[in-house]
Amino acid sequence: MVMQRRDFLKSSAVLGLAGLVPRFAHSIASTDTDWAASFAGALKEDPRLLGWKTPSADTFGTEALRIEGKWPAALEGTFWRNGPAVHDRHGLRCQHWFDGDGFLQAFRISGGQVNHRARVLNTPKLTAEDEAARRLYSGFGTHVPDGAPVRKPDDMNVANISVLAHHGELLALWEGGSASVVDPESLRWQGFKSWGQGLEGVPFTAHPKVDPDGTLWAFGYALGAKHQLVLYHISPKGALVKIALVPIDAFGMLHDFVVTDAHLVFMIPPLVMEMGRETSFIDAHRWRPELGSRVLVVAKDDFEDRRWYELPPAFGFHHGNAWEEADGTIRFDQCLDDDASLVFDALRDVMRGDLDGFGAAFGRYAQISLSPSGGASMDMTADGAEFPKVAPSTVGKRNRYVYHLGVAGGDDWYLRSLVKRDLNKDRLQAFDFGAGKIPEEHVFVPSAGSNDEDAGWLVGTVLDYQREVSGLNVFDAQHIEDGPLATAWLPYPMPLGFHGCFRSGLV
Amino acid sequence: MKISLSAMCLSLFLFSVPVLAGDLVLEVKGVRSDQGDVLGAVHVRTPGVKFPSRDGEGTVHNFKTLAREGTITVVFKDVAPGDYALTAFHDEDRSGEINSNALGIPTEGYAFGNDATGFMGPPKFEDVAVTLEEGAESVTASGSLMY
Ligand SMILES: [Fe+2]
Repeated sequence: MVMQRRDFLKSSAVLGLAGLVPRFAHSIASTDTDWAASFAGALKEDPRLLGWKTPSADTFGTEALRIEGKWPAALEGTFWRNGPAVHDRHGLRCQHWFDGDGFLQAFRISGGQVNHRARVLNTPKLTAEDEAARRLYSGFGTHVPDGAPVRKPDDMNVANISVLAHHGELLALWEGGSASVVDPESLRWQGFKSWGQGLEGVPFTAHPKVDPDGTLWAFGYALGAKHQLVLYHISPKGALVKIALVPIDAFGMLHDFVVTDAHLVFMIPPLVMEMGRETSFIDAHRWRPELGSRVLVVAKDDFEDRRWYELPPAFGFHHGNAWEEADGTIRFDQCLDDDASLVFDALRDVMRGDLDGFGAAFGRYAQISLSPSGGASMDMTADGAEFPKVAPSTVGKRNRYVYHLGVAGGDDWYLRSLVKRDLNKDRLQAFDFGAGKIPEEHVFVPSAGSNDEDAGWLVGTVLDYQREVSGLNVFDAQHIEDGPLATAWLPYPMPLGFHGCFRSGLV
Repeated sequence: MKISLSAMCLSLFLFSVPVLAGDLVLEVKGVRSDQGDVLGAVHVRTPGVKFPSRDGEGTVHNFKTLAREGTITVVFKDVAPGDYALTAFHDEDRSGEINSNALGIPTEGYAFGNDATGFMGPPKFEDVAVTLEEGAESVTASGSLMY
């Protein structure tokens, strides 16, 4: 085809916007060390590392799991879990826990029987790599030599952090790009979720918050020529109500947030993405304690109504809850550490089989208060804590209880106990799983017929690394120190993951 | 006067077109469907204009063609020697412009010549451009659409 010159088309102009996506290439973690061999060698000596081993297949399914104890007949529904699992593929082992491709698990609970299904998520990223029969994309902390160019964040989307069921839709959550729509029956990846025109590929957090009325609040952190925080307000029916882009200076990783009845609260650590350094995502960040932590508070009903607070430097992943006192004071909690060594070192070292310092790098339970006059204070306990959860009915309101994993028995290598924290009495109840087991996040599931905040169950997974099997626990939330009411045991071990959710129906 | 005018026309003809010009062949690969159009532009290095310009400055050729799955080839005849950088995109919804999300990241497939990529921004003109040498019959600028 031969064409003559035409009048100017808008095409050429808009291409000026293209390519605003970082291309991560060299990583300081990339050395000649053979990570897979190093991990395999360490696993022979240390059975705890089973939690970071790639599963033996891409799909799993078992009907009628063996149940130890008595499963409560009233607890029916689906417990979903997500986490990185494909740590090894095409001859390359990931160099950070956050880089393995997502792996969705469904525990279907009905009539006192539990069925299990699991599947590696067939994202476009993994599909492209399987077609090429090699790793193509560098990730959070992994360097892939001679990889494919990353033109947009979803090119490297591994959908591996969490899972959300909202208005009948099942979403596998990442945070660097879109949420992924997953078929709840087949567990197959179906497509990237767009919340509206022009929102395709805009980052969506792995930790959206759901008000008791079903309203969904979410954020995304978009790093680029300018760093921006994306704010989402989504109706109980899954429709976008409003969105805002907030420019943030000295911005970097932001994993979680909290909501009160009236506000969104963002604890922004001084972990700053520094442009111009060509490296892996996390290695492009620098810990800058001199900046301190900043708290951004945004009104739910007006995203332009924003105020800032300052706190000492701290880094953490997860919050439990937030609420507002009558005088306007905002209180919230977070599992916090003094620095970000967890994400830089411990979560990377484990991938080559090094668990030294792993437990010590986890944060402690902390409470933060923001006064209407502009003051802020932080009260950090000595209690190692991670994966805090609250009753869904208390989101944004004053909660009495927080459930989290904790350190037990002086064995601080990892979070080994399940803790119920009573904020009214400053009292803890705990169940120590003991050596040989690694518990994961347990979520609160309310039971019918009582308004007590803790009337219900805690549901979550555990890895028994000595017997090399995983199980699903159910605790009576009012008596967690008694241990699980029942555990449904899988005939195989599952890799340790991150977050789950429970739904009384399929989704 | 008559003669000298003819002579001048002849000299203009001789010196302006056929001797130095060649064909600029543009290849847009990886078109994923027959839906919509493929639009493209040829940019030249232009003082004071940042590549790729947002307002069309610095472009010397533009094309629009029906999308066809696979590779689309466009030839501009009699192009003067120089450096030419290809940009193209697949306008699947026929909006006439490349769709972008709220962050400015394109949501339709786009291509740069030489499949050049940038770091935290578009690639450099030098990495995208091909050179049509003096006396060369043609040069091919090629890029794959990435969706
Ligand atoms: Fe998380």
